[in-house]
Amino acid sequence: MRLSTLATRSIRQRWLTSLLTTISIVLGTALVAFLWLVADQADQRFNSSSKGYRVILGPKDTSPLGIVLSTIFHIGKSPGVIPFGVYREVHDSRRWKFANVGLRYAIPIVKGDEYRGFPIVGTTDEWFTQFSRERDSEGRPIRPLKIVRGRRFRFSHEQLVQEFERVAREVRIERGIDEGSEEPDHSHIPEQLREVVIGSAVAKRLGLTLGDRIVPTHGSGALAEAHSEALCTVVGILEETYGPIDTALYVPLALMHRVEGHNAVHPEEKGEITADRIEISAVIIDAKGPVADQVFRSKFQRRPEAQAAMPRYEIRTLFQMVGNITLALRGISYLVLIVGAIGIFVALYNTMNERRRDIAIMRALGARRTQILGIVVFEALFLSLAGAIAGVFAAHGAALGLGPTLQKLTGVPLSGAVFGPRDFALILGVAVMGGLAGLLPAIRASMTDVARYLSPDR
Amino acid sequence: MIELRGVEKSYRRAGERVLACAIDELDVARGEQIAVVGPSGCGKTTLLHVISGLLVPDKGSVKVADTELTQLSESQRDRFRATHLGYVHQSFHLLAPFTALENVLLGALFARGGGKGRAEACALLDRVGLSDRLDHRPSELSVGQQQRVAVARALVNRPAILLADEPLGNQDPETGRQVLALMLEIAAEMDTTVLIVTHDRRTADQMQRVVELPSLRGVGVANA
Repeated sequence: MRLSTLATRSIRQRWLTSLLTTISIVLGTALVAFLWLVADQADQRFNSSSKGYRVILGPKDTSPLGIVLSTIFHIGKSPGVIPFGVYREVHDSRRWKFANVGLRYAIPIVKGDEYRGFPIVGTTDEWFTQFSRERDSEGRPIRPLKIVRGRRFRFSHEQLVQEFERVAREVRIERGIDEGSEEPDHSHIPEQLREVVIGSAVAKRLGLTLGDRIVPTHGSGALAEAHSEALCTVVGILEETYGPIDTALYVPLALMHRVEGHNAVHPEEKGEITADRIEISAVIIDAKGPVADQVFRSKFQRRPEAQAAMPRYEIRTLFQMVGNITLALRGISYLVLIVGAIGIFVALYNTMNERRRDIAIMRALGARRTQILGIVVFEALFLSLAGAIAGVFAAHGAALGLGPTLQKLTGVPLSGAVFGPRDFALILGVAVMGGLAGLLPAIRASMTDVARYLSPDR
Repeated sequence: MIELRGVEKSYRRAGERVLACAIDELDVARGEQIAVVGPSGCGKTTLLHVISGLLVPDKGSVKVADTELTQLSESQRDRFRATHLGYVHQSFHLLAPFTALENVLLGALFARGGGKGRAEACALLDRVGLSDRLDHRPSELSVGQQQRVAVARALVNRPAILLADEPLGNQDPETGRQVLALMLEIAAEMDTTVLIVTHDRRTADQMQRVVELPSLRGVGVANA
């Protein structure tokens, strides 16, 4: 028999009250822990995933945040298009300088199709040879993306230019601007363009491996329109980056303009149709020097066809926007926790009347006031500690269970498997709060008038 | 073993102080077994509370086992009570959620600390004839069995003094007296001084000496 036995036995005796009190603590703790998990992982994902993207050139008539979310995180639909000429201008001038800024890379991106819910990104070789998501302390690229199985596809900038010149000619013929007999043949797309490299999460979740065939679709679900002419073979699988790169499939950019139903140039385009008018989604740019981002921004502020979005800045703005919501949710979860603590207080306080006789008996047996105080506080601590531990596990369990659904809805993956020091701090904090909530009933218990409650008529 | 001199204890009711107990002189020798009798309201239970240190008298001296209780702090009195005294209450006051053995161990818990006294508790329960009822809760025991558990709990620390308040309770007097006889027998073996308060003359007659408290009815204390 120990003092703690007295507390646990009392909890057991009032099991329903104890259970309900603990449930309120579990709910409060779980809410706090879950919000922390979501906020932390969203923050980590948004910040670490955007490192390789210093500037993104995207359509003018949309928000820069939309460009960033679509290009990097595959969230939302592609916000529009920019002319290929913008990309070519930046890319071709990069050997020396663009607007007096040294360039490391300029990579074109086309989006719009998908495969079983995962976005397909059309791009060039440079996505694999130049793009680097990892940076050193001075912001310089460390290494390009690594292919862990298979190989990358081969589709260079020069091939892209040639291809777009050809597509432009076809469009001109189609619209009767040029004379010629070349009819675009969508049914035959060269095998070289029908190679796909997939992100690690795509490989894992869809069970894809080298040599597998996939058919891109336009849209998803029941309304998905399959581009069977663009049947692709998986030739490579990228290393795991724990970011949005893992959740996309990468094909030669030209494929996106070869498939049926894709307009390379807007049907109502009135001007001269050249390769430079062909539409792409965005250009990923990495420039040298601390002011490069600002130079791009101001340079494109005056241009009608594209704008420069800076992911670092946009993500900060995004977090400021959602910050108030997060704050409100945190406030609510703290309130739930406080309600839980009040629950402990009320539960203990209310049971004090029926426990006074027992307490008087213990005092008559020699229990000191501090021991009575300790028993009641231990009871409160025990309930809150059990509730806090269960709450933290519930939050991580919920993150594990809801992770895939949340990712589908928001594009932000959520892992519940990682326990951090903050979880332990939360458990400790809730336990201390519960202990404090038990203090007043404990003091009341310790002040029990022994002689009065030992009276036989009680 | 017990020396009381000029003890008075009063309480306040409706703005007036009412005398609850008044003892000019009471001496109980070591190992002695005495009964304090008197009419209802004469202060018998208050006397036990004063001797056990649960109440501090307004005046007078309370010396128990060579310790002047009025000089001790509350926590010292608690400690003294746990280590030197055993207490059998009128309604036995067993804790409902605990088994017979656990109720007895409670007596040891506050005197010796956690996890101690199991062997003594089992031996005492065996001695009072409850070795087959160790795991029974009070609600599963007869009144007589509950009284035996209360006796075992009071004696588990081999106290210097055993106090009992109407130890027969509301049970059949014959059964009650048998248990009382057993209690006195064990106390004598432990050289424990016994002081019981009762209004029942036949119970008192089982003791070596009987002290009669006068009625306090009509005796008031001037407003302080």
